[in-house]
Amino acid sequence: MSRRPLVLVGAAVLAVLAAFASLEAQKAPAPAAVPAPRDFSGVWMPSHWYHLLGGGDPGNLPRNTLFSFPQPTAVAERVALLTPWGKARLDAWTPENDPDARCLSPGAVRSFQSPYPIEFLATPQRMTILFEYQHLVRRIYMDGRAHPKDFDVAPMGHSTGRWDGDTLVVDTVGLADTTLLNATGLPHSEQLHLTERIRKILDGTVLEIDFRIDDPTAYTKPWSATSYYKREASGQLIEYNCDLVVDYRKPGQ
Amino acid sequence: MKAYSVRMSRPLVLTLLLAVSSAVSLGAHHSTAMFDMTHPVTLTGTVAAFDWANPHSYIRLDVKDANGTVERWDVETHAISLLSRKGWTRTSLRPGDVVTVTGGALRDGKKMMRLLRGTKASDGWKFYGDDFSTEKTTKPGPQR
Repeated sequence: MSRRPLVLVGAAVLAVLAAFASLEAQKAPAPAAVPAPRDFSGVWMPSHWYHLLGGGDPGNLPRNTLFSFPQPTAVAERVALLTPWGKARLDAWTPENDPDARCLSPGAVRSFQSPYPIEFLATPQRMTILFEYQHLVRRIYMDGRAHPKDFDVAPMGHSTGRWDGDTLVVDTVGLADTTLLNATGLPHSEQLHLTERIRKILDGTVLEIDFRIDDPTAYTKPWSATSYYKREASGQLIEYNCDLVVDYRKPGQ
Repeated sequence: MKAYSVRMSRPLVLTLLLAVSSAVSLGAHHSTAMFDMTHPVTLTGTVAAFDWANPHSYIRLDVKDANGTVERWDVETHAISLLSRKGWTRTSLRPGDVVTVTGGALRDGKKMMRLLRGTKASDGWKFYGDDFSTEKTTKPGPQR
């Protein structure tokens, strides 16, 4: 019997508090939904598109390090690190024999230097990056598996990923040396060990992709560079076939 | 095992290059280092064809020189998806359209340029390719 009034008082206090809370909630606007720091999903347009192709206001979007215009010194610094093997590869490069000129895959590193957008798809135990250019795909295994012992080299190699805080750390090996690291012929060998650190910066509006090149066959010491992408909420990838076809509606090509 | 795919690809690539060498030389997805983007030239001519294509699109432009002789210029610009994002369509330019274009010409003297911007005479439509407008004092470097 004696507890009943206490319960009633408690209930009344709670009701009053709830009423105030409700009033407060009505006064304060609901906070805008901030995407989780690890949510990379959606379409991202590259720095190149805004800075070199007139794709719109770049705002505070930083420029890529390695896409040599307008930072040719950044490329020269990497050239200075080439081993004789790497230098011979660079000397043999011409714009005409560039893999891109032949519609061959640009590979894991150079795919992040291009003027075309990318899209992240997150599924359990797996991160997938879709590239507009040539319909390329990076598959990043997040289930703790190791790299295969005898992986057959390929332009995108074999990637495993893990989270370091809100940074996605991607470890890649098995990269075919038919691809290059940028559009000015920076080479790599099959010994390349690529480590990418991918995170959102500037309130989640910009994706930063820092890549570390560890390739003792091609370079005298490891080095890093960075690419940037801007979130395009309404963006979508457009089918891009690098097949030298002129106008799909014209017959006989 | 590792070299297998590389060995196989070389003959295929050579065959491909021989088969479509002319197309590749024009369609190459290349650096713009071969174009002199720091000294743009402006041409007015008549569109012979507009090739809406990957990896690059081309305006085939007939331009009269000082003697009245018609020269064919290949005016190169972006791939289909990038042009689409800039508002171009496959019918933005049609044969017979008169256009004025500004771009960087090939350094080797061939009649080819990389488009910066242009205007269509009939409706005043302004179109854009590369944009080095904020970098006039910097030497343009490679680009796809």
